[in-house]
Amino acid sequence: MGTGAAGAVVMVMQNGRKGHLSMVRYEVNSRLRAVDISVEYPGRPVLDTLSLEVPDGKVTAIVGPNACGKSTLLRALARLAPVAGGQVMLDGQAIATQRSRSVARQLAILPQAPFAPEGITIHDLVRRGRTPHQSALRQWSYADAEAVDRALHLTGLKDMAHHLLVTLSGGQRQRAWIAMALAQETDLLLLDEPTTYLDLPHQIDLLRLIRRLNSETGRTVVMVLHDINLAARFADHMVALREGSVCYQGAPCEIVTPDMMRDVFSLFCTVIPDPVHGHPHVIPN
Amino acid sequence: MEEVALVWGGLALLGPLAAWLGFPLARMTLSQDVVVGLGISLVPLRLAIFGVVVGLVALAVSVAGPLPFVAFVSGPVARSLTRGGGPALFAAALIGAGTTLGADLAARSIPVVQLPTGVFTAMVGAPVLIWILWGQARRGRL
Repeated sequence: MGTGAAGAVVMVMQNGRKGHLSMVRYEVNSRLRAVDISVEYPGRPVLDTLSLEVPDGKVTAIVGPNACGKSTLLRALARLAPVAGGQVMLDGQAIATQRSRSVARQLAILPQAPFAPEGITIHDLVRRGRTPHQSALRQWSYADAEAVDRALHLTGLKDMAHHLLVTLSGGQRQRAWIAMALAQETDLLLLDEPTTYLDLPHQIDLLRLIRRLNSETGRTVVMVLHDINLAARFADHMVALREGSVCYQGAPCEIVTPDMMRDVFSLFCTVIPDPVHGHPHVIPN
Repeated sequence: MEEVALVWGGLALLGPLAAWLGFPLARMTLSQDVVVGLGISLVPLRLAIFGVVVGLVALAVSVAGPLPFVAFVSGPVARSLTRGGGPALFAAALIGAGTTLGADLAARSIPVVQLPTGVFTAMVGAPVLIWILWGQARRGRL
């Protein structure tokens, strides 16, 4: 699924006399990358000189045990968590030095358990996703209306746009928040545990939506996921963290192994190919 | 006369600023992470709002004297009347002015003693504020 033309392979010649290929490196195109970032919470280091390249046009899942820093990594990538060392680079420029508003036109983040005022409708919420494209003087335009319409359409909320957010079910509410992030019309979409509090059918439903967003609109998605099996099924690229460092990364079918489960989660498992889809499926021993 | 000029001058200066800040302020009702994610820089925004609010309140108090509870009440009342998710600047200003005028009128209409307007805004405002707080507590949002 989704291993199309994205991630053009670039051959880099280094230190080479003409005609001599001394070193060949494969690079993935990556607009968003972390370079040696460290993040600390008071008295506790969370990420330790971590580097990561987010592959463009793919769905990346960040997995790992509780308190391994996966949410912090996502928040640092979205300039929500300040880095103590290193840099997060967006389009080759340090994200911390860019205007927050222009970052918000390239990158949308949906944090964990967001809240909105009580009287807000789906439509009102999704409209707010247009904020980085608006100003006090130009608060609403045709382009805004179109973007909101597209976001509602993609998330299947078009017919209920005037419902109050508080009256929705958990799955619908999560869709509404994703619609808000979509209305931002960014190439990069970062989601922090989008499936939390959802039952299995709604989790599948939401992850299918995310896959569809990726394949239909070419968006790069990075999401923190708890469930390793769902991550293996719905992501092109998986990043496994342990104690603030990247332990494994690559295509799920390559990295999800009993060794990886032991190293990352300290869990002894058997990994079999999912009999229906062929993705790796983890069965704890 | 001088006071009227002061009020209009101050309003002409701070009013447009308040209206300008209304746009990001309307978005601040979402959670902080979402607001930052939408590209709003919170620290300068908070400073600016603080400055404008202090300026406007100082202006009003310097001319009209302290009128307790008007500010506590007019914002929430305006929001519940306009039913939007965000701040209702204009409606809040109207309701604040209306409340103050009504209290002033009531204060003047008592024949024997001339009570300060502030006493009346407190008499109206305190129960309304308690009622709002009571309602929020009952819905478990306090």
